[in-house]
Amino acid sequence: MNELGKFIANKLLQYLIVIFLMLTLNFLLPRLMPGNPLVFLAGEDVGFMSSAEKEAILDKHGLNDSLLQQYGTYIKNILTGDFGYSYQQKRQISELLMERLPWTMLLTGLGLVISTIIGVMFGAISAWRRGTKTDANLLTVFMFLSAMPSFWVGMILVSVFASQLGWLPVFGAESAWSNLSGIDRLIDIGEHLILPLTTLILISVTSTFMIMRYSMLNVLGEDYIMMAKAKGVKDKVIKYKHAMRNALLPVATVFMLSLGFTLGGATVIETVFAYPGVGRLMFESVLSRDYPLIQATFLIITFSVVIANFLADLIYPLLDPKVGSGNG
Amino acid sequence: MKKSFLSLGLILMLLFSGFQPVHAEEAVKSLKVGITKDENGLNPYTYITGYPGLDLVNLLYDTLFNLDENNKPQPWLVKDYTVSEDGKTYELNLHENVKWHDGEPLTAEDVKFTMDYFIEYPKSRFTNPLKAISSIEVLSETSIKLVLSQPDPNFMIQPLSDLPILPQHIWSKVTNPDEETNALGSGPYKLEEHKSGQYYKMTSNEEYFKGTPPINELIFPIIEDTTAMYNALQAGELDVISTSISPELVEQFESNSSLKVVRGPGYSTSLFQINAEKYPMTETPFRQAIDYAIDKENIVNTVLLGFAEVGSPGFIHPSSSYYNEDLKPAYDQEKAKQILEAAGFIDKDGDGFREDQEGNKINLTTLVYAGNPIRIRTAELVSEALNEVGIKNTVKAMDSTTVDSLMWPDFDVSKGRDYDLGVWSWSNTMQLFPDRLNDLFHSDPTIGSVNIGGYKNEGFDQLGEKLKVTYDETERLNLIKEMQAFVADDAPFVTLYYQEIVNAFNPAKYDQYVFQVGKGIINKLSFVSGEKTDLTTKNQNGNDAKSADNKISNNEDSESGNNTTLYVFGAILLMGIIAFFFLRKKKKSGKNNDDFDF
Repeated sequence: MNELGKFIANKLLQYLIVIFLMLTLNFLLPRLMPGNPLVFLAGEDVGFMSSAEKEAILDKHGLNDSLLQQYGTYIKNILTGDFGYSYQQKRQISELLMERLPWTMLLTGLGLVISTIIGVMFGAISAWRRGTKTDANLLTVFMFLSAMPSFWVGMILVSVFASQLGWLPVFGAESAWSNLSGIDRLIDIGEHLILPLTTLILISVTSTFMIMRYSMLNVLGEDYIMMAKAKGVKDKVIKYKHAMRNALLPVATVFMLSLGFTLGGATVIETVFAYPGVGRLMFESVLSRDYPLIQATFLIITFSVVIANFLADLIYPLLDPKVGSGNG
Repeated sequence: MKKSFLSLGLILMLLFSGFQPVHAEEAVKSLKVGITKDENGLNPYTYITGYPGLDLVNLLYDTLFNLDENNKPQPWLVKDYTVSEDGKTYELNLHENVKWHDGEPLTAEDVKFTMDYFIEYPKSRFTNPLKAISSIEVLSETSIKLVLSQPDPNFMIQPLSDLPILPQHIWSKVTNPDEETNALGSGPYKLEEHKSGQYYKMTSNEEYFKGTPPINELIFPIIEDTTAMYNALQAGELDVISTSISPELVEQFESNSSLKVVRGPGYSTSLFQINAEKYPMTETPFRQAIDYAIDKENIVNTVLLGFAEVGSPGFIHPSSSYYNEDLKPAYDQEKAKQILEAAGFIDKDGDGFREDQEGNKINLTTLVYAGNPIRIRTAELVSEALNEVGIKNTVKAMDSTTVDSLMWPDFDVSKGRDYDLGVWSWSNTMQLFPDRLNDLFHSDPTIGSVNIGGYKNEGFDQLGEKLKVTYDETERLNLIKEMQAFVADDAPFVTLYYQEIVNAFNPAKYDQYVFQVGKGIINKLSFVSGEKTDLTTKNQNGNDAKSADNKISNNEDSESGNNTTLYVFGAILLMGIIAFFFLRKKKKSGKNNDDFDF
């Protein structure tokens, strides 16, 4: 217990330092980029404003303060849980995120889970049948998938299943304006989810597949598998209990890491399908130099990646007794 | 006899068009208009861009006058008006039966309040033009008198046709308009809902003083990716889109029998911007040579596939009444070379590129927005042309904000500039006012507020100052023509082209759109009731020369192109399925012998 406490305290300290560094980078990076958010603050006719009017706008938003002052306000706001006001969307950022996050989590969360399951399954099959035609075919299919850019896959799916066949909707997360409720709304959301989700799975499944295959191959080469085989243990038991379980550790690492990134959304897919997620919001915020929004969206990702890592650190000892205190 | 001809014609029209036109009398239940941007709150203080932002605001609010399809101001909230002979006093009488969306009457007090409010809480676009007014007097509930400090030839366009009138009973309590979310106006539609990043929903204002609008419910889904937008229109999920169709896709849209394509002049001006403050661009012959080196017509034909008008060297669009028709676009590479030789720019070391008079190498960079394929291709062609006449330059594509911050730091020309050359574009409002030549080229940054090339010429400045105090129409026309000639000769920048607007819509849903020059079919006139010629008949009669290409065809081979993707995808899918079964079969038959062969 004491050992575990120490382990956690140590990790916590490390993570706090990482978070502080990330916060600072998060503040500095957008300000190091050329350009500023003036056009979004002042509106389209910014070119016809007098210098004094422009300065007044920058003053009002604290953009003429020294960097140190701005940094102080930024840290203070974060500590009080205030994400601030978006220059571009002209709304409270916390409100904006509350609207967008559920969609992103639905899309990327589901995508991650499904692509992990598929990747693990086929990775295991491929490793189990290493050197056979099945293995070669699976490898070909997954390598082919990994080579396709997400926007291209998305567009192909849209042009076939939405534009040509008209089976599925082309854009959005739901037909909210039709005032659907209950089951109808769920079906509507599901229909809107199929194409972006498929795209996401198609492009992200390869990494899990490759990791699982490689890891499983390693495990299958271990002496204890040979031993089990020699002892006449059933194939099924060897495959699921001995090999697959032990091969899952690196997959879990990748899963946890990706879990951290889920909140960031899948920018390209959200753009192609006009899905109202956080990824697109983040992309727009960078283009418009919307400092508070850039900070908030990147902060969310930073935090979730760090937390996911932390959780992974805690879970590892459970998955693999070799990691952690080692005495268990 | 006549009657039968007419009905035969009608039948033929219907047969050819393959759709039942919807007429304004039958209200359209719901229309989905795709827009590219979330424009935030739709009131005059919080929308972001002029297009589509202000167009949406204008469906909710009214202006005193409104620009017609040829951009001439026509009375709107104003019923009748008089302008004094000296051009300084405007007396406006409003319609009596105008109501705000909450039922309160719209009065002259609201108009005065709006003008005062925009002065107190500035919003650049609306506030600046109001500064011409020296006094406002409410004469009665529906009449108001405006006195200007000096006559202003553009007063009818801005502010009168541009300033949305705000309800005093709501805005008098608002002290931070930038964060105000209400959008209650007097316009033909009421804002019902806005879902951030998803859509706006408007419903028709049945009490509208110009009659109930033709569409019960307007939905504006927000789709940032233009390809996704095109797809949604093709799939019938949208009825019309605000984005202009890219030239290479026009044919595909025209071949879709359920869509209709119309095209017309656009006022957005693309140009090759030159930093005239930086040597050697400071030398007039050097700039002139750049102008001669560029084949504008070739750019229009290859990059825009003809869907653009070649730029006039004087900037002003040929369809404007202020256009100087004597100016013709120049292209003569030999002449460009001669000019450069004569000015002392000679290739001394034989590397194919010219050095300056002192023998120093010239190496320029052309900036361009990375997100805009048309501009990138334009930049490449221009750059090639310059290299051909011996001006060494390379294209550098960067994100738009970075390019802006180099070419126009802080959007303030008095802060200098940090570039050589760039492909740039001004939005359509620049063409609405010929006086903007002053903004573009005057050397005093308080007048030439968008002179991003830092161009200076006393001769031009004198003409510009004369224009500012000239109100006689003929004199103004002469001056503006003279200014264009000056620009054409001095080449502070090279006007490349005015891209045409190509709109597509589903005519079975609604076809009463009005093509407004410079703007296209998404404008207020398209969504209010009134005497309208539908675009179909109009184009068939050839009234609109630019729309001549808009064919509606049902012919079969046009569909084949559309289906190619389907076939290719089907083939891939089929191969996948065969492969799958093949694998399964293999797996079953080989079950007993493929274990553990590592």
